Amino acid sequence: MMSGEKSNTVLAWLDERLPVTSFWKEHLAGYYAPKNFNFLYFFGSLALLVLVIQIVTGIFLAMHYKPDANLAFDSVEYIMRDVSWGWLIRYMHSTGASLFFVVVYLHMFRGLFYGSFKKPRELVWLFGMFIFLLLMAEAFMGYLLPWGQMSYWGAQVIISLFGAIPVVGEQLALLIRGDYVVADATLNRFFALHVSAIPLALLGLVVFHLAALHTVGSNNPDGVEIKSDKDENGIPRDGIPLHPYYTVKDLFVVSVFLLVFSFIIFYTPEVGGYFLEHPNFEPANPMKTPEHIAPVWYFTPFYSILRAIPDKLGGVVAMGASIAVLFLLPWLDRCPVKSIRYRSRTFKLSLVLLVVAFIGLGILGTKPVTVTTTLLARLFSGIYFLFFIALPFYSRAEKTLPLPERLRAPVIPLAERHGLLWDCIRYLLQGVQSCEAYRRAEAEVSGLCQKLKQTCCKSKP
Amino acid sequence: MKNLIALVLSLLISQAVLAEGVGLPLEDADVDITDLESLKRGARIYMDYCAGCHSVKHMRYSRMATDLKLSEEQLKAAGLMPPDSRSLDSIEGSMNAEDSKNWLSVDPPDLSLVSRARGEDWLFSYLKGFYVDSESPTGSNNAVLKNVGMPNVLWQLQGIQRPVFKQIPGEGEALDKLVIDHPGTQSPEQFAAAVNDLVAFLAYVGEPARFDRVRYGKFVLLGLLALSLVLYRLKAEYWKKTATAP
Repeated sequence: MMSGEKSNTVLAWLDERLPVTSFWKEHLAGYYAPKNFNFLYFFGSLALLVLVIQIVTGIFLAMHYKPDANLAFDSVEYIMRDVSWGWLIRYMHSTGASLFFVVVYLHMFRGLFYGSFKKPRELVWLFGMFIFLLLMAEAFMGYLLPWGQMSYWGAQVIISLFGAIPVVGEQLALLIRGDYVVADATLNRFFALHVSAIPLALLGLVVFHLAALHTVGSNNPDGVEIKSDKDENGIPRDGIPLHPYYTVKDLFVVSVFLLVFSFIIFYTPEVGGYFLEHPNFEPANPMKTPEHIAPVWYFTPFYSILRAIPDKLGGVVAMGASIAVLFLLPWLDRCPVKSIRYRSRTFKLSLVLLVVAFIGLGILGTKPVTVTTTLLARLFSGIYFLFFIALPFYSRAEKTLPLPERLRAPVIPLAERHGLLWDCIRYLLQGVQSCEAYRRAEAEVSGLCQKLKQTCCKSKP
Repeated sequence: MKNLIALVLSLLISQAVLAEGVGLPLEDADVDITDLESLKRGARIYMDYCAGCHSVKHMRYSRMATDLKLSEEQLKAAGLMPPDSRSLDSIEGSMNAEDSKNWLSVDPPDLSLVSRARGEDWLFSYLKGFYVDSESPTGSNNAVLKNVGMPNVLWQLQGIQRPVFKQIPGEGEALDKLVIDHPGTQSPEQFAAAVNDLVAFLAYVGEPARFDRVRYGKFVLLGLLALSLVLYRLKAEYWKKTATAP
């Protein structure tokens, strides 16, 4: 009783000076989110988690790292060998960088899938796109810091792209490098930007991204506004308080994510040369160009678009356009229906093609240039841009399905899905389930589960 | 759709093979860094044949002693640590950089991270891939790294290999295989095992933290798995109420 009273007075004392209770109510316990979020909705909070991991591990790395062209490479190895738990911190940071992009790409795909960028969430999307842009800058600058061969030559190639801009290009490239080639000055300024300027801007933008989201409320897999159907208390009927429901769900998701994260860190930190590239274990050598310069995997889709255009300036423009066009998405898509669940077959097919093209470009970007890869890169680049060019034309008069009154399930059960694709999948599944081997395996597994339950979860009499 | 994906993949793979198809294909190394005896044998070969020119500047003798489960005295007695070096010293090459530039026109690279930059299979094939070449200044060439500046330092063990070329229509002469002309002190099997030990040692010095991460990994994963199960139950408990709600 005493402690309750005391905490109340402490809280009251705080509330008079800081909006603690109102913040808790507005953004957590009293923020109503749609109740049918599915797994695609986890990547926003996971992105926040990875951001925190990167900042914390980054602080510890900066305690031991030396931003000096003569010392940088060795200081990373010093962290890997002589600093207590340095290898863990470094692998967390390098794995975190790659997983940040995995999470953010899936988060953006969710936005496309369920139309989360549409009115009234245009600003949420725009702030998100600026976050993506800054994240790319942050990753690019961070990648120079280990001062390996790929760090050096990757930066050399990308910065030289600015030189292709007419009139100011060369001066701009010089300004970015601080020298005529990538050198100590470049490393020093990239370090400054990587550890302070860009993280600060990123954090600011994350606040804006979330503030805009909490002003308009979250979208959901049905793309129906939950605010339009409120009960007598003014609470959305299909809403559920963010805390405790989604906080406790996110906690579970976080632990699953950490399982994957830890598996990579402890067992395969290089991920076959994709998360940590092999040539980057050789110190930067300005006199020796590597045979094949490839950016880290998360830049390869855009790098492929750059390489697909034979002209340097044309390539830079195309690469810039491939990112810039994403900013325009809320105005390119004119279909009032948000979720893919109720959109036309044209849109569904276009989105599939976009994803195939994006992944295809990503794979091609890791390969050396040949006639075939160039041809394929051009094909995929064409598909990528065609998605955005065609969108405003067909989306205006799209044949959509009627929207539901109330929210449906997070994942629509297979039996309730319509269309040729789902008919085929149902047919195939039936075929599999009817075969003898499947039935035997099922019986085996259920028997095993039963046994496990009896031995482990038996309640005491 | 599936056909298209298959076509794309097959094109990519064939391109990749073509791009890497210089010299002889790489052989498979069979490295096990948890085999401490193999690491010790590899370290001994390193000290006898490599340390004259190459350093492993990121590896301290003290760390090596701990990881190989040897005392400093044992390390010295086994010839894995020069008698005049101290515990926190790192493995330095004995050749002067000036001299090596004069003699071999290159400064022998530090080998701390060579296993991570090149890969174990590459090292294994490279070390086995020296052959006589009268046109080369060192008298030898390499099947994996053409016109390499490094002389064939393991010839006493391996013997001397002679290249056999084949004609490829339209492309000219290409290396087909290497055959032993003058046998060395070891049989080909013994030599392959010795090189494998050396590669294991280089793989170990490339990332000594591998011992730690593999050791701790299982506990971290098991802990997180347990946490996931508990958190799943917690989530299910909270969401039970919403399942019955309209």
